[in-house]
Amino acid sequence: MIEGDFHITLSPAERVLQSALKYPDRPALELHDSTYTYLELTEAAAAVAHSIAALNDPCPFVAVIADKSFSCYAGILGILMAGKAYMPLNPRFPAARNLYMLEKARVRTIIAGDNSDEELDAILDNYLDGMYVIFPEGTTSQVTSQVTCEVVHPQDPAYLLFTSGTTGKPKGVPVSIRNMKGYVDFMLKTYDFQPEDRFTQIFDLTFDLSLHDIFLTWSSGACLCVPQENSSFAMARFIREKQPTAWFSVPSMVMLMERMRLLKSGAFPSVRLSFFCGEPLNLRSLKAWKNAVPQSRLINLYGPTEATIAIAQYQLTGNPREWKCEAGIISIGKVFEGNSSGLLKGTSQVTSQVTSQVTCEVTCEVGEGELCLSGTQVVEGYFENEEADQAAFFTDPVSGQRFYKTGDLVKVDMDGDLFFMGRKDAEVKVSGYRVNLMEIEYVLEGYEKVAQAVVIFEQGAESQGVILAFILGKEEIGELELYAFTRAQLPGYMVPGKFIFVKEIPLNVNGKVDVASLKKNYCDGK
Amino acid sequence: MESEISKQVIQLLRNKLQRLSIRENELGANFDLVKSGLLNSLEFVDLVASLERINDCEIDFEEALDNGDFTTIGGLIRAFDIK
Repeated sequence: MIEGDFHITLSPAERVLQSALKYPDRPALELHDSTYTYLELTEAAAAVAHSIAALNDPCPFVAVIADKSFSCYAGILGILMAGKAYMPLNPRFPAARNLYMLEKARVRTIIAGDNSDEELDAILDNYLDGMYVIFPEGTTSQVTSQVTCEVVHPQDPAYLLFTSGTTGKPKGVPVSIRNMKGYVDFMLKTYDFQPEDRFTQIFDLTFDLSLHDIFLTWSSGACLCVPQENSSFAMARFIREKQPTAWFSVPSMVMLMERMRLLKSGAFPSVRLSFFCGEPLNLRSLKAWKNAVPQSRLINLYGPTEATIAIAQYQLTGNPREWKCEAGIISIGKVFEGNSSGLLKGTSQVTSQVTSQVTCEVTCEVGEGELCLSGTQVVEGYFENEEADQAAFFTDPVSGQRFYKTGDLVKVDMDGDLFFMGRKDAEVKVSGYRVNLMEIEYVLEGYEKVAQAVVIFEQGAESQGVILAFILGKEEIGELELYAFTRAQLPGYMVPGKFIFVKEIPLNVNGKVDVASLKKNYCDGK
Repeated sequence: MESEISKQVIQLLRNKLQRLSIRENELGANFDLVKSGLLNSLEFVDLVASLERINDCEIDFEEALDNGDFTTIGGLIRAFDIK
């Protein structure tokens, strides 16, 4: 139960328990060839919650090794049932990065996945403060009717994710119960999810879009279908075998299937809802997808981690010729009710309130600027990072509302629909992951032979793009050694695709790095 | 590796292999282009598209993936040899 003015509604974990009480024998999770019912899931989660409660660990966060095993999913639910917030650790990330996150959040309890012995050992061998480890597998079962959730406050954290930061260290984003509930409640109200629905769970669990999959599924009494790890090539087969009704992926996944010629007409008739998020959605790929899922509604979602999963949507209906797009990129539509947006033109003033459906004050102003967000889903700030808070959050002097500056440049049309136009800063999206190029520069400049690094992102017309690193060396450096060094420090998607060794870093008249000259001199002007 | 496909793969990836100091003879039949981190999924599909153009044929990706090793040099050779 949630305390305070939210007392009459359910927390996300309580919604799952409600589903379990209504549908104990329905499938909650299909992991490859194994199926787990709601009863099995909540029994395992309750056991985790009991184990956590018995530890009396004062830290609000419990880590979970996000290996997409049954223990991991039950662990996430169990952590929330225990009134704690979960912090996923990606087993494929360098151990140093996971250790940094654990130390930063002062985590003392970790849930082990079924397939994560190696990652767990790496953490336990290097974590100085000692760690309680919970192994959900084989824990004793409970009777579902007695399974309950701890009381939580709306402002309590639900999960803590880390995003790429400018100072070489990832930034923690604590998302509250209120934030998460805002998203879950809005989506359940907007889309008529049914217990018969089958949701895909493609997103990595360190990606907040995975919460859409997990909690919309389990709040609806539906089934979560998880593909094999590293199965992006086999996604068409996954759809045919698992017959999902609700698809959710980054647009790149569709682009991949399109290039593999797998989006044949009517290929996936089971899909009735298609959600996309994490990257700009390309009109051409979407048309190809629509051809394969003729029965499906199409929804383009938008949202940074700081605004909880997704905060804006554009529903694509009718004739594709009527779909709104700008330079071939589909609109991100309007911000969800309970939240509002504005454009920041210049430095500090919000000049247009684009939408606020709660008060029915829909005022539109055509224009371009940095998108700012406020409302139920927007987090209060970063985890113990005042500098980042000051850079990204501000209070509008007119409305008194606290806004988050997304760094995304958008255009607003006459109807108030938003169009993503690019980034204001050094942040880019690679395979849906947020990557701050300054973090890569910081890491590269930490290598003893590197004097200076300039990292840019080259977006291909119809490709994922590539991260390029221009390196000014103190001495001769081999690309392989630099690649190995970077690979040990950063997740794979942040490792530059190309290192270009330069003799000097040109500056423009303002004393800033002249990227155009760098590209002209070292990339054949491309 | 004397296969024509193998030579074409090496030719197409020459710059990348050089940059990463990967010698051609390291690209044996079992070398996995994706699992090794050399190519991401889209880059691999683009490589296959280039091989299709060069050899004037079309690969059935799912059929090729059924063999379980399509993303290896040996898997590519088998997929194109069948064509």
